[in-house]
Amino acid sequence: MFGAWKYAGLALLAAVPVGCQRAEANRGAQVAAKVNGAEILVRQVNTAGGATGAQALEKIIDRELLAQKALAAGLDRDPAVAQAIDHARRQVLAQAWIERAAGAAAKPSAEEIRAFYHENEALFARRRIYRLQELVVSSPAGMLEVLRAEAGRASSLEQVAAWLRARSAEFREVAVTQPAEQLPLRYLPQLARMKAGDMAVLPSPLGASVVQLVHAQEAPLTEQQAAPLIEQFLEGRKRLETAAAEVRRLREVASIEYMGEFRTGK
Amino acid sequence: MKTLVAIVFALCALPAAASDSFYSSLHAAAPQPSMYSFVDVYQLTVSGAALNNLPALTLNDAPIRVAVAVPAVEPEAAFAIAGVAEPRGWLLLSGLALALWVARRRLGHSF
Repeated sequence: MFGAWKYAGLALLAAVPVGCQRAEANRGAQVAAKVNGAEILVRQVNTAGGATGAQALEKIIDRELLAQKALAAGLDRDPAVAQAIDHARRQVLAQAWIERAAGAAAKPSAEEIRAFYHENEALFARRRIYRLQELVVSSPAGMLEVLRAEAGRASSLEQVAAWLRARSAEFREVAVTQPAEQLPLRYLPQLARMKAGDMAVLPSPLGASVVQLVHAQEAPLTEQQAAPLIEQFLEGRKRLETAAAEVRRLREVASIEYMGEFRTGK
Repeated sequence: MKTLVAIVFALCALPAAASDSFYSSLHAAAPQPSMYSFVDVYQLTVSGAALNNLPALTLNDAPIRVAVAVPAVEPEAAFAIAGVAEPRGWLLLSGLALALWVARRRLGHSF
């Protein structure tokens, strides 16, 4: 008799979370509004995004009204619309598969986090906040070496500026204070080695930048402080790598035929 | 912990930080991956923005395999060239006669 009560109790306990899940699912399946008889579910409102649920619902109602009109006018049979619908559907499917593949990525280990911390001293252990004076020079790529040579001879940024002025070069002076993580990664190793007063000439999208380090304030992050950021970053990177590997794998096993003008060079 | 909060704040406040500065000048062409800062890379990676562009990002380094060599489709003839008739003897004779007439006319006039 006691055994029967025990099993009944266990069954009741097991039913509680299932019941909660069902309640959650039911809430999502509840109807938020009906537009000319077409139901809009709470789930749709929740996934639509927006400042508030009410605003999101109004947007969905507007969209539903327009969609109903388009269907009544037979626009879904228009070749251009049909093609766009198919394109959107495939885009959603592709994204869903990528997300699933990326979800299989392993979490970064403590060793990986530690290694990343030590490999990127300029960002963490030897992080600095850089106060820089800069001359942003609009120049062709060939001028970079000339500018480097001139900066090497000059004792101050003002001398370089005077040299540029004498040659009617187009440039502007700016001052900036930025922490290491906001500077271009490719320049960070060089900037990390610089001492106050040092100058460097770096290529930039505009041409070149002559940078002088005015002051660098030490602002290191301990491994413990940096670990949550590094973990998130490495996790995201693993997801990307896994997803990219999935795309590569699919291409390797697929039969892809390039036609017409797209065959050239393949 | 204060520093961690500061760095997280800095990461979140990136768009507002972009001004007329070393950072902004170098990032004038921010879409260039070569100019990304750690904040850029971090945001793209963690937010999943890079994941959304994955097929495009991996397009260049993915191996390309042409499975079947498809023969080029022969274009259909759009028009036909009609056969040209062989020149006949009378055409040659009339040509010679015309040449003689021109020569005689020219010799008859002094320019």
